[in-house]
Amino acid sequence: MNLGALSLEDAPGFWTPVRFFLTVPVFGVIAAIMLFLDGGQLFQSRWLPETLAVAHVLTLGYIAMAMLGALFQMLPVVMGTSFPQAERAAVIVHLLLVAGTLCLVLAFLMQVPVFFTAAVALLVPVLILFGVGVIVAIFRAGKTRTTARAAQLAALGLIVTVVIGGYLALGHAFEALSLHRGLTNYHAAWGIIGWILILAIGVSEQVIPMFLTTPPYPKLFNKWLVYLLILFLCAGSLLPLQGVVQAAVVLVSFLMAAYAAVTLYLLGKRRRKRFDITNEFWRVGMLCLILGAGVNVYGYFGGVIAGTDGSILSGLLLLAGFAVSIINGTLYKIVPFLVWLNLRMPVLMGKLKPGTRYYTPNIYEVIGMRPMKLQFMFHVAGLLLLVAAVFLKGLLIYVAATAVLVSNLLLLLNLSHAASLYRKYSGQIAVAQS
Amino acid sequence: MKKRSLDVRGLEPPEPLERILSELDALQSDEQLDVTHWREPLLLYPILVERAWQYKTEYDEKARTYLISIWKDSQ
Repeated sequence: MNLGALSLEDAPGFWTPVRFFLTVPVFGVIAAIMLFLDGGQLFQSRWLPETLAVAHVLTLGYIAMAMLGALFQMLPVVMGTSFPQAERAAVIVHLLLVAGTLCLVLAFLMQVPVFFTAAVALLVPVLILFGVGVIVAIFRAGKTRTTARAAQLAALGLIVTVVIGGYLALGHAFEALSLHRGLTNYHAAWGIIGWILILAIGVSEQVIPMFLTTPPYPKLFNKWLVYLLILFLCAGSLLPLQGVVQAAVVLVSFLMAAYAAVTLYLLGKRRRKRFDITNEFWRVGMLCLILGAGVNVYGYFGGVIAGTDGSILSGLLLLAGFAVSIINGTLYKIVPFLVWLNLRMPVLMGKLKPGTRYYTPNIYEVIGMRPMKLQFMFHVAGLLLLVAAVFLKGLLIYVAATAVLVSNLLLLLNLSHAASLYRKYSGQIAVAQS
Repeated sequence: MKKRSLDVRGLEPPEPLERILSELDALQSDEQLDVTHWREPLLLYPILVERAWQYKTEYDEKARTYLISIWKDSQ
């Protein structure tokens, strides 16, 4: 009896997720350039068009880009299901996400209504369809374990975030539609918690024990975590009584810190103690999650940080600190694995003609440790300098921008090296099987 | 049918996949390989189908492990 078998036609090709992953650092570079251009004012207020533009370069161009690519890969490999015509769908989703993000960024920077309309047209339908596709595909596969449930709830989070975001963008585009700035908090909360954090929790349930050889998460911990986060998000959104919203903010922040603390504990219990760059990225990400959650609560209850309500600092910690760090670290596991897997497939399938010379690179040599370490150092330096720049105005932001730029250029170089390795040796696949 | 067992818990990918396939290469037609794994090896399944192996997966809720039995002939 064969249960849950995937046909190989369903398995995505190498470029299906990798086209997303290679685009991630390009948007990182764009974010760094925008820090250079508008650095002097970016951290003054969350409402500045330039600040909103950089925030969306990060959330759409970097974070969502990586998450959508990861979902194209994870649906078949982790959840035993897939999109119909996944490869074609990936090309279209990728194209629309790139074009839509650029449109939205230009719309914020130039305040041109038609760009807002174009961004909505390019992004909203495709992201909603993608979210619905994930939910339906997992229901069809009948998977109910934590990662599958978290992916469904994250897809719901994505849909809610996109619907509110689309409405806000149309508010910028059409005067007849008044701009409800109050919705921005719901847009941000659903985006950071309902979409990014919940998918991160679901992915870490698999990725942390698997790639970092830690003990598993406590039984049902992550599953309850995502249910509770969605519950508090819904309560805070649908029952806008001050007491309910305050309780939701406190409880969600507590759960964020609890998840980060448990993950840090597990990372400390790795069975293989050798240095692992993904481990370091995740530790930085989890520390930023704890700090970001703390700053969020402090700011919500009136605390003043560097002359503002703390939303700039918490946004920085949660997006550039938490999300970017764990994505960066995870890419260093997934991309080499994909290079290895796709090149190794003829051997694994037993399809190699006898006597054929066939080379598969060692997975640990697809991206060298030294270039990854160097990039990690620039990433951490960039983060520390960005946080410092919130408190110390002046030229520090430009030093931070330099570190962010170098970090993303190095990430692009490292990932491109992996992709070029695949391209170099992929020609032998067809030859070896023919 | 004689049974061989293989525990791949705690191994970093792609070691579990490599070890299972290497063990299968040495498996006799009257033998069955029982693999203990922390995750459901969804990547392994299509490879087993392609190589005409039969398999059955069970999940031990208490131990949080998957037991994948693999054999050549239909039992």
